[in-house]
Formats: sequence, structure tokens, C-alpha cells
Amino acid sequence: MSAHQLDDSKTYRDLLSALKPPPQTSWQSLQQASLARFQALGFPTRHHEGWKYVPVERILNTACAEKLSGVVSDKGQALLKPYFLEKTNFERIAFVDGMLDQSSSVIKHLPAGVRLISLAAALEEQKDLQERLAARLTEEPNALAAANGFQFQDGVYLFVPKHQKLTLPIHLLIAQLGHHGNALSQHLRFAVELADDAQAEIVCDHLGMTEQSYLSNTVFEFTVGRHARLKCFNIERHGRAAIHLNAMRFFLKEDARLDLLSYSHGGITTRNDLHVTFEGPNASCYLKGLAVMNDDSQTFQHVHVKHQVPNCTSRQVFKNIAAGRGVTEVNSLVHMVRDAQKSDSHQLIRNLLLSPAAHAYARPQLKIYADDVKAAHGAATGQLGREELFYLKSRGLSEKMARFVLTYGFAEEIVEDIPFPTIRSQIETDMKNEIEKLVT
Amino acid sequence: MLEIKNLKAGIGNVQILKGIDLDIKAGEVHAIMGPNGSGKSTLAKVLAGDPKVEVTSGTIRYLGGDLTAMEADVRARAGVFMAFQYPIEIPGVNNASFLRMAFNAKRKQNGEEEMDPLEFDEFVKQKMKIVEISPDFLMRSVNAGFSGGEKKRNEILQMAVLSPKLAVLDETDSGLDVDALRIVASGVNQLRSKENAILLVTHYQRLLNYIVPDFVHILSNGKIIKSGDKSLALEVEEKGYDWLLPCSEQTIRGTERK
Ligand SMILES: Nc1ncnc2c1ncn2[C@@H]1O[C@H](COP(=O)(O)OP(=O)(O)OP(=O)(O)O)[C@@H](O)[C@H]1O
Ligand SMILES: [Mg+2]
Repeated sequence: MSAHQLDDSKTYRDLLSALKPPPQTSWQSLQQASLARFQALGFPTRHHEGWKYVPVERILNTACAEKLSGVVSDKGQALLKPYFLEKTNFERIAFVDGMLDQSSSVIKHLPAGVRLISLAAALEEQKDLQERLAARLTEEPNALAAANGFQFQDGVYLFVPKHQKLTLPIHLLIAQLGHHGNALSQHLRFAVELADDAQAEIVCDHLGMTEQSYLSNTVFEFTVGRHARLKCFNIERHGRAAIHLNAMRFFLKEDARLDLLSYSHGGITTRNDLHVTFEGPNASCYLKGLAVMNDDSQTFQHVHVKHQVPNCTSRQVFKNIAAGRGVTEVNSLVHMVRDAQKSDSHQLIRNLLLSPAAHAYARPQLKIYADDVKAAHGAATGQLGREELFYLKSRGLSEKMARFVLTYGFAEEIVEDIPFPTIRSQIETDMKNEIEKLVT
Repeated sequence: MLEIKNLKAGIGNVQILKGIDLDIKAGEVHAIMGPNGSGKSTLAKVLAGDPKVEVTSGTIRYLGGDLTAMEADVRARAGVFMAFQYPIEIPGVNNASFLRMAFNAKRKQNGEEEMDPLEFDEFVKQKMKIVEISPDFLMRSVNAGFSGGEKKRNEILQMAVLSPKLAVLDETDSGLDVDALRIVASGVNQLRSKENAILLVTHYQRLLNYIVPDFVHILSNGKIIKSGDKSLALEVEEKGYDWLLPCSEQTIRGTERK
């Protein structure tokens, strides 16, 4: 690994221990707040709740470059192009190796009042935005997501005003090309505010095009206003040696609705923190996730849905497929406070293990303090059924094909209603390739 | 086409088939009847290549080759088809694409070109007309949530699509209403030809009015204890199996009844 590193690389722990924000930013108060939060939480260890199975040491000891050079070569551009989703009309903002890449970004048509700009620029202009983000940080439970607040290099700010609907979905392409020979690390932050009655569709597309190790720490914060509607697609296609820490925070006001789909493959360690907080009544969220693990990949999905007010509905389906020595964890907590009467939640976790050395941890949890609520949960881990395999084979499908068909059939339900054909077909292709590898 | 000699087979440590001899030639229809638990389904599974059933001795030759040496999928592509007594539900796997994959796997084996989805759609819809299944079933997952009778019809649809050389139908007539029985029978009769052979497992002589067998065999306690023509089925219908059983077993059954 050291062959790739330049002298200026440190470990992620070193960077965090320096405990200093990068210089010359105009969002000092946000940085101070996150620093304070990070210090209060301390470095995560395996003894902390929520980090039990996560290889914290591996994360902290990843080599990280302090600075990244941000010139994307023509060759890099050519590599990225197939992922531009050009057949569907999107607004696209691309980050390559941690830097905003203007040449791969394109903004076509933004309705009146919509702002889609770099987070750095937005923070510079809007003091109040900085305060809102800082205020949210005081409740951030994940130390490394808090650390992102003083480390982030840039990101995106999206604002959709009242009654406004985005004409085109937004494609946030977050790519690692890794051509610089440096150890890579990137820290990006995204803030999205949908005002009352607004609507948006956002694709968060994490793409690793290198087998080199890198660390990506991304934080997304979504505020979804009254009657507003957000559809979010989180797609993670990482290189084998990638470490991805991804925290997504959703705050839903009255009558808001969130649909989230998360697809993940590859990466040595991926941690998705998906937190939804109901801040107004009658809101609802629909969370779906699929992770495909092979070799040594490990994916940890930590879901936390907080019913803080009455009458909200949450639905979750998380499916995982693990082969090789893959590890999957879904740790999903639904928390209903005393006032959250008439809350309705449903959690389902299903794991498919394709090899004896693969592991699955499924932990649906409930913390309920209200008495008039509905909360259903279930978890199941299994292998491909022998009867099903025989049935398919008895119709002429080879062993491999039968295993493929059953595995794909297990997964497909999660992705089948993606509304954008380009994304759906990319994910389907990716799933097919990954599952193909798993069933040999 | 199929020659079974002194076949013994079991599941785990339980011996179920205790020496079966059966010879089926191309163009013939054989029916197997016998009491519950006598080993009829086990025989069907052995022929289809269910890895659960272990052949402990004897031989099965199919078209001159050793059938037991072939994996289930190889047998299927070589023209063996078994309609399950209890078809398996496979949620998440689309019925139409499953049928197409099975069909194309066989085409490929025969060195033919695969049929594209559109062409296959036409083809399968024709077959669905024969077995009177609505095209809606193409969109659903394989057998998932199908009624008992719908599952059986789906088996016959698969058979019609794959047009096997040797079809083994394990109680495909059980649980069917009269209309469905007629439909299943016409599906089977369409397959009937000089080149193909059919083995029917059934409890009811009723089916044999629609599909007239050349031979009827009675399987009891893992052995074929009597063979005859279609009149044997009528006799069984009238008198049950007791009169056919060896004396020792008759007594046991007799005592049980008291
Ligand atoms: N997995 C198993 N383990 C042990 N015994 C089994 C197993 N499967 C089947 N058997 C036994 O083998 C015997 C034959 O079963 P089989 O299903 O072949 O009977 P059948 O003739 O098809 O009966 P039916 O008319 O009820 O369908 C039965 O006694 C049954 O209990
Ligand atoms: Mg049976």
C-alpha cells in the first residue's frame, strides 16, 4: 500500500487528532460547533454503542492525504462519462477526488428561486445557513459525521422554495479516480432544504473507479418542509479497498414524505448512518436498502427513525447478500417518544448468505414510550433454498444460473421501482455483475 | 427410452424404493398407482435427479445413457420433465423470464439460437391458450400465491413450453376441478407422440379416461407388485389395494382397522 502514498499522508486518526479546521474558511462557527461535538463524543471505539461490529481501527488507520490535487485529466473524464446518466435529463454536479469538477457538472434549468451552489459559496453568503447547520450538530450522535463538520472541503447546497418543484432530478456524482498516486481522502458535506410544498429528486452517486484505498466521509442533511416531498437515491459503487462513511440525516416537517433507496456494493468497509427525525405530524418515510458483499467487504447500515411527534409512518426494508467472508450489519432502531401517539412503523431485515464464512447481523430494535402505536418488525437470515434450486434445475437451468436467478430474485424487489430508467438499468447491470461473481 | 432395473433408493437412512423394474418405450403412456407413501413421488424425483434421493443400487438408462450420472439440469435439457406433486413457490423470480430461461437453456443445448423476449412472448402465449392460463400469470412470480390448481396448470404450461421426450407427471390431476382436468389432459395428449413417452402418477382412474394408458402399474411399499392394462386401474378403483398386497401386509392393515 505504501508504494502509492506520498510523504504527506497521515492516518485518518492523525488528521482527526490535529483537531484543527483547515485554514481560511468562512464557516468558522460551524467548524467550532462540530469540533466541540467531536470532542464531546470522542473517538469511536468498538465499545461504543453503534460501533460494535464496525472495524474502527481499520477506519482510523487508513492513510489520508491532507490536501488533494484536483485536476481531472482527459483520461479521467473519459472514464467518468459512462456514469453521467445522459439518457435521462439531470442537473449534474460532479466531485472528483474530493474537488468540485466544473467540467463534469452541468446545470440546465433551475426553476425560479431554486439555488444549487457549492456549499462553501452558500456558507459564505448565508450566515443563517451556517447557524442552522451548527444547531443540528449539537445532536449529532456519530463522532465521525461530526468530524466532517470541521474537515469538509466542499459540497453542495440546494434550496427549493415554497411550492416549487425541481424540473429535473439532481445527480450528485461523487467519484474517486485515484490517478494522483496520493492516498485519497475526501470529506464532503451536502445540505438540502426543501421549503413547504417543495419537491425534489436527488441521486447521491458514490463511484469508486480505483482499486487504490481511499476514505470518503460524506454527510448529507435534508430538511423536508411541510407537505414537501423528497425522493433520494443513494448509490454506492466502490472500489474493493474503499472505506466509506456516509451519514444521511433527514428532518421531516408536517405531512412531509421521504422515499429513500440505498444500494451498496464493494468497499472494504461501508457505514451508512440513515437517520430520520419526524419533526411534524403526519409525515412518512419509506426506506429501502440493498447491499451486496463479496470477498472481505463489510457493510454496516445503522438506521434510526425517531418518531418525535404523533401520527407519523415509517417503513423499512433492508436486504443484504453476503458471499465470501462478507459481513453485513443492519442495526435499525425505531424510537417513539411519549407524545408520538398513533405512530406506525414497520421494519424488515432479510439477509441471504451465500457462503459459510459470510456473516449477517440483523438487529431491529424498538424503543417505545407511547402507548397507542403500531410497531412491527422482523428479521430473517437464510441461504438459498435447496428445494427452489432443485426446481429451477429440473427445468434445465444450470446450478450457477439457478443460484443467480434466486439471488437476483431476492434482491430485485428493492430496485424494481426506481423511476429513472438510466439509473435503474445501471444498478441492475451492477447487481448482475456483482451477483454473477458471488454465485460462481 | 427408459429402462429401470432393480432400482433401490432412499432418503437419508430410509430405504423407500426397494427394487423397481420398469421399461418404457417411446410412444407409450404408463400410469403408476399405489397407496399413499408407497414411493411414487420418490420414483418421480429419482427420475428428475433430486439430490435428496440417493440411489443405492440398480440402473436407470435413458435413451441409452446412464441417467443417474446426470445432474438434474442436464437431464432436463436432455428432455426429461417432471411435474411436481407440490410445485415450489419462488417469490421474486418472474414466471415469464423463468420460462424463457428454461426454454433457451434447452435451445442452447441443442445448438439452436436463443429466442428473444418478444418472439418468446408470442410463443408462450400460444401455449398458455392450450392450458387456458391467463397471460396475467406471466407477470407474476413463479407459483407464488398461485392456487393449488393454478400451480398444476403452470406445471403443464412449463411442460408444453419445454416439450420433453419423457414427461413424468406426479399427481398433476389431484386438486383439479373437472375443467382443469380436461385441460391438463389435453396438454398431455398434445405431447403424446411416437417419439415421446409419458409416466403418470395418479390416484384416480378418472384421469385415465382422458389419457388412456398403455400400461398400469401398482406400486406398493417400494415395489411394483402388479402391472396390467387400463382395466387394472378400474379394478383398483372398485376394490382398493388390499387384495393386491402380500398376505403379511394385509393382516397388518387389517389389524389397524380394528
Ligand atoms: N425426507 C424424507 N425423510 C424420510 N422419509 C421420507 C422423506 N420423504 C419421503 N419419505 C417417506 O418415503 C415414503 C414414500 O414417500 P413418497 O412421497 O414417495 O410417497 P407417495 O407414494 O408419493 O405418496 P402420496 O400418494 O401420498 O403422494 C413415505 O413413507 C414418506 O414418509
Ligand atoms: Mg406423492
